[in-house]
Amino acid sequence: MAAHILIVEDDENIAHMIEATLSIGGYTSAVCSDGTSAVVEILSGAYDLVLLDVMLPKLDGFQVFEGKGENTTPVIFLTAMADVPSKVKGLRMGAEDYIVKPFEAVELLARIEVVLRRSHPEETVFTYQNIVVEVEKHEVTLNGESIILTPKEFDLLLFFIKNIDIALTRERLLSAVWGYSFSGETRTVDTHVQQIRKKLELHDSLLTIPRLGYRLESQKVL
Amino acid sequence: MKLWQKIFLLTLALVIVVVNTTSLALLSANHRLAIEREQQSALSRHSYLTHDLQNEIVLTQTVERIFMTDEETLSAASEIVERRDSDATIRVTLFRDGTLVYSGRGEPLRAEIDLLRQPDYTSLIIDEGDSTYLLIVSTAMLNDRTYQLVSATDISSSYDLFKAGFDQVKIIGIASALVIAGFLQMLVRSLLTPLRNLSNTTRKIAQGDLDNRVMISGHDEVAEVARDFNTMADSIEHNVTELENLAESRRIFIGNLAHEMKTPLTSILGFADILRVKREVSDDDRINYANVIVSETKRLQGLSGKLMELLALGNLHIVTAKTEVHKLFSELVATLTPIMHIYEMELIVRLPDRAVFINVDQELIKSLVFNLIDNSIKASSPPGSIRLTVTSEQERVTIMVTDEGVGIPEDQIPLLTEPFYMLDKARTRKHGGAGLGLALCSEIAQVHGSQLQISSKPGKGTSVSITLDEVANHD
Repeated sequence: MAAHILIVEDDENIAHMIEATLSIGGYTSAVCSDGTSAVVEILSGAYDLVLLDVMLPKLDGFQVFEGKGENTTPVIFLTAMADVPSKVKGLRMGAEDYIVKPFEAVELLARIEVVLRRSHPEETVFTYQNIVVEVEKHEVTLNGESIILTPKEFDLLLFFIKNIDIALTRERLLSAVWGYSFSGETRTVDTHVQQIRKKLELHDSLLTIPRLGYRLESQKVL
Repeated sequence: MKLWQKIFLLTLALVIVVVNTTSLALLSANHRLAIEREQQSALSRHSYLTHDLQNEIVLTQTVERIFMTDEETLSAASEIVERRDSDATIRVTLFRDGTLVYSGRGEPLRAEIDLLRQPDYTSLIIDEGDSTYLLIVSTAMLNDRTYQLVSATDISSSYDLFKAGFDQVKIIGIASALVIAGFLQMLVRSLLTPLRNLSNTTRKIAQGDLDNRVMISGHDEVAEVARDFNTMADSIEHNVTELENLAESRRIFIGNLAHEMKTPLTSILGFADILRVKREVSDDDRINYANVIVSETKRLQGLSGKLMELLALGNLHIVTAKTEVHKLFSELVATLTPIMHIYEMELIVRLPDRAVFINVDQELIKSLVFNLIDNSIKASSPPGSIRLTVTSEQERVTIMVTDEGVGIPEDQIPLLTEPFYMLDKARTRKHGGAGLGLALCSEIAQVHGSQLQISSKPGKGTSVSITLDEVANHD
């Protein structure tokens, strides 16, 4: 079941943008534009995650966090304040993450996924058409036949399946699979994508998006 | 060496020298006087004795008509001397032709014999053993023979007195030196205490404790320096506080600016990224997203424009020129009319019925009035009216913009001119504002040597005015 996320944001456009981003990730969401009603919403317990803006009318984000008391719904702070003290304050209060505005849609989705995985038992089996990926066994099968992938190819495939229908830039893939510290060339991504395409017969669905990157597509939309 | 030590040592040395010299001088003057007195009395006694001796011998000869030998004369003289010489302090010696013929007590001294060659009544002071004697010589004719009579008066007591006095002076000198030293140290240190306080305070201020001040007591030179110092510290503290306030307001300004930039940027980046990465975007969504991107970009554009204006106001020397208000405002009203139509608002303009001149930067005043009317439009709900009134009274020209909009709570009025302050965030943002308009107007008023006057009643409307000096038309 897709996670239900509460967006607490007073700027209409930003709230709208986050809603649109969340729908790409397959999440459902609701918007709340001030601190007081945010506390009420969080305490209703209807949400799996809260995206909480810090600068809010009535109560600020930190006060909202204190106001929710013992409620354990994970919270990610969204804020324009990039300074270290407010970051530390947010995390020390018990927030799961702290995202500084502005941010890219894909980055927001990735951070949400990490938090949700932490708070919910992780899915261990992913299926894409005739491909099944079993994370715990580190095994990939195509039409029931086991396919041998290198660890990086495995991670890359998993990241594509998790971000289905989203165009992923090479930089994004590099940081997600190889880690932020990896200073390799984006060509590394290209060679790995080619390997995955060949081994799993994905030539028609793992597409190259010109001047951008790659996208693993679900059933062709007609 | 410290100043107090220098003053202390120099003063102490001076006092000791003066006290001891004075008391020594007094002592020796006294002593000299005492010796003189001794000398006088010894001399008179001596001359009395001499006369007495002569008279008695003459009397004896006359009364008894006896021819006296030298021996008889001498023994008679001795008798007289011995009779007179019962006072133990005087010793008399008689010489005849330079030869000792009678000695009261003991052998004559070398000095006594030397004295015989001196004229009569010469006195001489000599030390003999522990005692001091005053010797006096005189010549007496006894029985036609010349005798020399030497008397020695013991004046040891005067010298002893002098020595005792000297010892006393020494003791008093040392004691007074100690007392004076103690007293002087206290005095000098207490006199220099304000100086030490000054130095301590200076050190504290230098360490950054700027609200420290020197305690001032009295009206002496140190107090004067302390007062000057405090004045200096006041002005330094004032300047530092001003600088800190300036830095703080800059910090707040930049923080607000960053926030105001990030809000549109978040929408722009977010929607642009969605458009780029999402596989299928419906036409509706695409137009919506693009609209947001365009409007948020315009907001950023407006923000940067206002920022540039604020920056220019801070840096430029404005160029003022004598301007006629009818001419100035007719141009402005022509620009404003189409905008007012869009918002379904009416602009009521009332100008003075004669030519009125003011010294202003035309573009800035236009910008000010434009911003004020823009604010009024945002505060009003159409259809409505906004009044632009220019009045001239007692050589003061007031430009006022009045609306019948939502109004401003009284406690918010002082905050309005703060950059990025927004009374109603959602309302301001909807109109593409960034909270800089009134800050800009306030700056414009300030560079014209005036101030914004804001009066408002919630629900009734707001009026904002600026008052300038009218200038005479001499052309």
